[in-house]
Amino acid sequence: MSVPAIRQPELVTAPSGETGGVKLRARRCTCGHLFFPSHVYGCERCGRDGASTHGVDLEPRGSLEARATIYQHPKLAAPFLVGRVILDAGLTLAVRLTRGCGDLPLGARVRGALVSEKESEGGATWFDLHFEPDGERT
Amino acid sequence: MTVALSSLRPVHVVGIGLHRYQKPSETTFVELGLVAVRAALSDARLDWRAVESAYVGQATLGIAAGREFLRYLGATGLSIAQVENASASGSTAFRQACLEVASGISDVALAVGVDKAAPVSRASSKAGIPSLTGPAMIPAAVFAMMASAYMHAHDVSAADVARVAVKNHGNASKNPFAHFQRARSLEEVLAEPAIAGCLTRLQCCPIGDGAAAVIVASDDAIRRFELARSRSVRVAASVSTSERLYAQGEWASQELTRDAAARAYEQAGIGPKDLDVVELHDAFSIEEILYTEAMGLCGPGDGARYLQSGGSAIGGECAVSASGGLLAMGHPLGPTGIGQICEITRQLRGEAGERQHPDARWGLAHMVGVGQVCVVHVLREPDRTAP
Repeated sequence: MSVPAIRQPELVTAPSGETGGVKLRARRCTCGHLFFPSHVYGCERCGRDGASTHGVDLEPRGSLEARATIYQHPKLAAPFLVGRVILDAGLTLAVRLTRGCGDLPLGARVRGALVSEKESEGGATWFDLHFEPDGERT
Repeated sequence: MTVALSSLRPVHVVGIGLHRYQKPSETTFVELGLVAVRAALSDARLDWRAVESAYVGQATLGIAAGREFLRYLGATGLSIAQVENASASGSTAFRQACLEVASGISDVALAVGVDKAAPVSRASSKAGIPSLTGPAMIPAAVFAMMASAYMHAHDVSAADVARVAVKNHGNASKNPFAHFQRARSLEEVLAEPAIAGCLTRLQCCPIGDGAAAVIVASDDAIRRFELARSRSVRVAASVSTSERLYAQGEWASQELTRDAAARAYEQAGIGPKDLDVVELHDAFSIEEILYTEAMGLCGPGDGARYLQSGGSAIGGECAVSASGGLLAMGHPLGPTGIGQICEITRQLRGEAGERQHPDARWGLAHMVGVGQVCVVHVLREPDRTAP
């Protein structure tokens, strides 16, 4: 399998070079505060500057806390699914969900996966991180 | 050492005025703003030359909007400053006007909100931090997710949430300044096109044109200009907060509301059960349920039952969004928070006509802005024994 072209490599990485094994590129402060997306502006918990923070890759796995189907959107083709996921690593994250999450009960296990968007940009296919039901690929 | 607003000079709302909130129109912001300010001056029976300072809440007009309309009331040389704080722009302008009078720097100050429906750009998009969801996460998406979590946790149905819109559209049908002035049945609200999750179109606030103005004054000014003390509403608390870090599973806007309301009660020396009228940030129907709980008007998880039992209806325990709220009176951004003060003042004076809540003595105004910020004010009924 070829190396996936991840649309937002500053957020998501696939260290194994494949669409499996995807990780979230988060950051942790010396005070212990974990945050995502990554930046070096400073820590919201203790106020230390970015030099006191370091990158940490997280497993995109957790439980689905909230979900909504977006039926009308000013910019994007609708409908599509969004959700809020509580990661096992201790972060709460707003995410795109795959269609397979439409009937998933809240509280169910979900995991991040690289999903190729149908539309191509300059001929290339881009991969985005969406969350899907854990245990089955959709 | 810091002091609360209530321990500074008393501040009173002495004049209120509105331009009807309406769908995007050809009316210029100059005309919108002038209608509201002239109405507020007329309501207060006050001459424009008495106004020493103006705070202009707006989010869409571009820089230096204030003098572009206030000049036509007379170029008196008063202090003018624009205030932008997202949806809480008007609330923050009102707070600044109150603080200026409370401090003694001015005796009479104006808070005016005016906006025209227009695309807004958010600073967050220029912070250099990418987002996993990009443009997907519109406000309706966030609140539809909150609704899903709430309905799941408390066994509440989509119809239970939609009843917020039924109440507030009903209230707005009696408000000549409201964007929407038509009562809607539960069936009508549910039959509207879905925007996000359980939120149908009538459960999402309209953003249009409008203006709202409030004049605040000191006791000295009330005496000097012989204003009607019996129609003057005391500002009993002013609180402005921003987001902290919250525990997993908590939602920022609800936690902000809980914190700001608690601080406002402490300043005013009251509790939630003392409130008679509340205007809150119901940009989406689910918000009213969440915030009535966060404010302590009802218990945790009881928001939908509180609504359905009539607790938040005009004539109930506490009239919530008697104006129609953001859902039906509308949310033209800058004016919204000031329009809330207009409604509460009308209610506390007993001048709200068809939508008057009986014996209204205490009122609370609440706005949340993206960012996230929260601004809360508490107002107290006039001394009716005064002249």
